[in-house]
Amino acid sequence: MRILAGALNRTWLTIIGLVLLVAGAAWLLAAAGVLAPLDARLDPGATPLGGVEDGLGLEWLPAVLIAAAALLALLALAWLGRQVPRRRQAPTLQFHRDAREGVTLMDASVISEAVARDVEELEHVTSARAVLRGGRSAPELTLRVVLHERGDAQEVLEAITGWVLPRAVRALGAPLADVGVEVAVTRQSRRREHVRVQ
Amino acid sequence: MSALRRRPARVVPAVVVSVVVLAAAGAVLWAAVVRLSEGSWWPGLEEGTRTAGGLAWSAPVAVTAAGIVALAGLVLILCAVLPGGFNGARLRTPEPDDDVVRGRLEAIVTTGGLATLASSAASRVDGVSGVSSSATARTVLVALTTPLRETGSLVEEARSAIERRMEECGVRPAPRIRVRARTKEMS
Repeated sequence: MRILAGALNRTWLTIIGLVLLVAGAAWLLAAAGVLAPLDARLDPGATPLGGVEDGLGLEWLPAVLIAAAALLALLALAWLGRQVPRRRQAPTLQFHRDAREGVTLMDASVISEAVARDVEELEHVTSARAVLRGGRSAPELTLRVVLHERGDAQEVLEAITGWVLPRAVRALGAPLADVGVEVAVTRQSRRREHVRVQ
Repeated sequence: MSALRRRPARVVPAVVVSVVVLAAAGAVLWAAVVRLSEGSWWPGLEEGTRTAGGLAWSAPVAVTAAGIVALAGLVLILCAVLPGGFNGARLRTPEPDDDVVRGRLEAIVTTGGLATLASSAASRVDGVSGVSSSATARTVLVALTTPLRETGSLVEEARSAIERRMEECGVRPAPRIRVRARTKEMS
């Protein structure tokens, strides 16, 4: 139902992993003397970080470090922020053809909640959630249906296709572009069907 | 539409790496601000850079650190490249009318759902006193407990019941069902 940043994570993990692997492997090769014939500074006994303590005296260094660290911190924060699952619910749906003749707007959650209620009416469905994505002319619907363990997933899918989706399409005034149904199964009954006997 | 059936998003390694980068950036930022406000670097940093400056390529500390860095890089690449299992198995879907769904209708059952379906079917087999199941998109593992001493026919019966249940629900392709039974004396 919710969208995660899988492609972004794979890309950045590969880039950072490659940088670390190349840096670490290069140091190990230099330490083993493999790179020594290329340059005298790559001799295993050479000190590659020799001038680094002198660099601390540079006047402009703190300013450059502040800028670089701030940029890095912002990038890390942005990446961290992308780990929050997103619904990407459709914005407000516009039902008018010409705004000069009048405007009809509807929050997408109104339709998605109505669709979820329709699905919950089906036998053996314990609960349901719906998310509508895209625009009104090409809406995409994703459903999460929690089915009781005794329920028949095929019956529920047929009822969704034959009854729930046509009602949603009538309300939207346009056929759905794509539909996804995620079925989870529970051993618990619907709360409103519980009867407590004392 | 983003695919319903997907592989892990690698959220845990992404969070770990971004927090480490954030902490490193914060430390550098703090050190640079202290340098600007007090006119000198933090003594520990000066000591550290002096030590690093004297390290040769082949110094044991440097080689150990380089090995750790290379290993961390390899782990991150494996995290990114290894595909991981799908979050669910496909379900057979009815054909919707073209004026209802123009594109495709996709349905999946979650791996947790597969395990629950298997447990539910196995628990209704006579002679089963307890069930626990786990599932991937392709394989369902079911562990039964039973008071029966001879478990061969019970395992077959449970496997058939689970396969029938998967077929009824339209799980495509049908997952491999592995059933184990353990005799547990009733007290």
